[in-house]
Amino acid sequence: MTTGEQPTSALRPATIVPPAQAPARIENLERIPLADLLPRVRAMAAQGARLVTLTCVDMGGAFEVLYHFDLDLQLQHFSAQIPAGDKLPSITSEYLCAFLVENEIADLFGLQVEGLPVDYHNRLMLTEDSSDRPLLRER
Amino acid sequence: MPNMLSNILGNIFARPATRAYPAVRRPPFSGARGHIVFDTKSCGFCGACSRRCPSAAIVINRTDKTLTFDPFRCIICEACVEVCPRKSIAVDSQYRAPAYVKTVEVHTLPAPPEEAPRAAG
Amino acid sequence: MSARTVIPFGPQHPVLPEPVQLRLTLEEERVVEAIPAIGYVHRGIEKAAELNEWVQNVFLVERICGICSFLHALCYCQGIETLLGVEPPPRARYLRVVWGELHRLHSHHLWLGLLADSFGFESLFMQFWRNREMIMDLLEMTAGNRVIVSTCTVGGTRRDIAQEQASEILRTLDKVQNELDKLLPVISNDYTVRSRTVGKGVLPKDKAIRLGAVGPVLRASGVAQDVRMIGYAAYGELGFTPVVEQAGDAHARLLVRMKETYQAIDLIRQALAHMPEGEIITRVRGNPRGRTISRVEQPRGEVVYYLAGNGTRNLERLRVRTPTFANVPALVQMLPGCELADVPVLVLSIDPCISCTER
Ligand code: SF4
Ligand code: SF4
Repeated sequence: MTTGEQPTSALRPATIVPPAQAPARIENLERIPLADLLPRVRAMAAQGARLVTLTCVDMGGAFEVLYHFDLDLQLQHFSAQIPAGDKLPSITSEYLCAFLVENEIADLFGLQVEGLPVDYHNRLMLTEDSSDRPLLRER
Repeated sequence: MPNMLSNILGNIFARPATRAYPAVRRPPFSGARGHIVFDTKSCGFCGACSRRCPSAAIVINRTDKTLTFDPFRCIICEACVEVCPRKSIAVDSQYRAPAYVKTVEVHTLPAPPEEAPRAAG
Repeated sequence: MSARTVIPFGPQHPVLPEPVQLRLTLEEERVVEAIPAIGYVHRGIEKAAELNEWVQNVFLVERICGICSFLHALCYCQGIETLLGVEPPPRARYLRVVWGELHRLHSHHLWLGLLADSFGFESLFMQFWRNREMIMDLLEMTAGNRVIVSTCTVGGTRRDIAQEQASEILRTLDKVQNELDKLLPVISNDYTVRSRTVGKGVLPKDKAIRLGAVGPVLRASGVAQDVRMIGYAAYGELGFTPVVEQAGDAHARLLVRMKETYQAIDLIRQALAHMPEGEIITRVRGNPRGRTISRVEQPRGEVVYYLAGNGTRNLERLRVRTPTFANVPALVQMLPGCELADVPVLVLSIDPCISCTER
């Protein structure tokens, strides 16, 4: 499979743009150790930032959890890595609204979250008889 | 209530906003995506459409030279129309009639004795 | 302490045809606690997007939600364009504004009708839905489909709007605006509307931000935040100020959406007037690499896509945070203290779209 023969729309083809040189990056992304997570989140809350969402990525043996914040339409991201089997601290003490997305991550990735005020016990998205972790990569 | 009064009075004397549908039909807009049609005469069975189709509605068998199309999977996105190198696929603006049973269409290369594309259950 | 009753609101409920459940704990008629339960119709679109090719995903993400379908495709395409380093041609950016705002217009009409329906104002409901039909016809005329228009693609748009179609859009918008002018006094002053919405479900400004509310819910609490302000597509070149209300109650949310229908009409007029001539699509080559965040303002609020590509035809990860998912915590905090009879109105006041919550 070569990258050049990507099927493209046959509609009025115009200028040909060479593929981007460097892979795109997320701006304002800061990698932080898990221990710093809660203090940093607390600092964002003190500034009046809005929690946009959490994104969990399965990296194989570990998870990367991204925390996206919005402050006057400027995004700020924190990235924390957590080995599989460890527990992710909940940030609901600062942002109550995170309970929904943290439960979702617990469901779909099997990553355990510690300190949830409302714990659905992996039954937010999944059914009672499901033991699947749908978003884990198959290997 | 007075705010809606003129509206109510207007509606009493206005024609209905709806159409008596099966009896009165609005002709489709030109360019409406009703359903897709194949012209197997020009098809080269290259399989580009089936690889591009997001809902896997087209299956090409290159050895038998058949194109199996499942209209109940098709979302009429026109991706296959855009990608077909021989322009063998087109969009018709008429909607398909509703059906009781789901059928698939099998299109074959029209053999010299005229064998029209037939529907198979 | 009086006896507590637990009432399951949903997943089947007359005002909300979508499956979501709120477990309401009541003390007499008053709600003291609400626990949401979702997941009745989760479709696993994030996983499906990893299995499909990225070109095909445009059609997949459009189906996350019918009502915002164009804006989902727009958000996805903008993300992929960033990963590929492609710029859509100027005309395509304006066309995206036109279709995007037509979607906002018909979505707000749908919601305004549904809210009227939730407190039993049937004739207002029918007026809005009759109006909406004119916009649906515009979509069918320009895109070939009423709801899932599929006109946005990576690198530009798949259809153009011809001159005569543009004049037809302008003519219809005049009619729509004319009808809206008759309904605006009903929305803002009518006794029935006011008595069911004013002072109900108040969400103060700081709480709205802390609870991560987005879109009209956030703007009705006095926060002037609209993702269109970052100027994606052609919004940076069009005149536009976000609609803000201060009261934070259900009526403020109603007014924000009502005023946004006017704003959408105005933006479509501007976009059609300033639309440059030229190509509508840039050819793209290669496969997406790296990762990015893409944001778009949908009728219900901000949608966020996280896209990660690894240079193959399949994306590594696609994460979608839809606006209703962000507004559910705000709803849960709004409900305690209200009466059971107001729950349907408050649930509708966040414009819940369960189909997009259940990606
Ligand atoms: S892309 Fe066209 S030519 Fe190729 S198999 Fe499909 S219909 Fe036939
Ligand atoms: S129109 Fe779309 S869904 Fe239908 S067959 Fe063609 S590519 Fe597949």
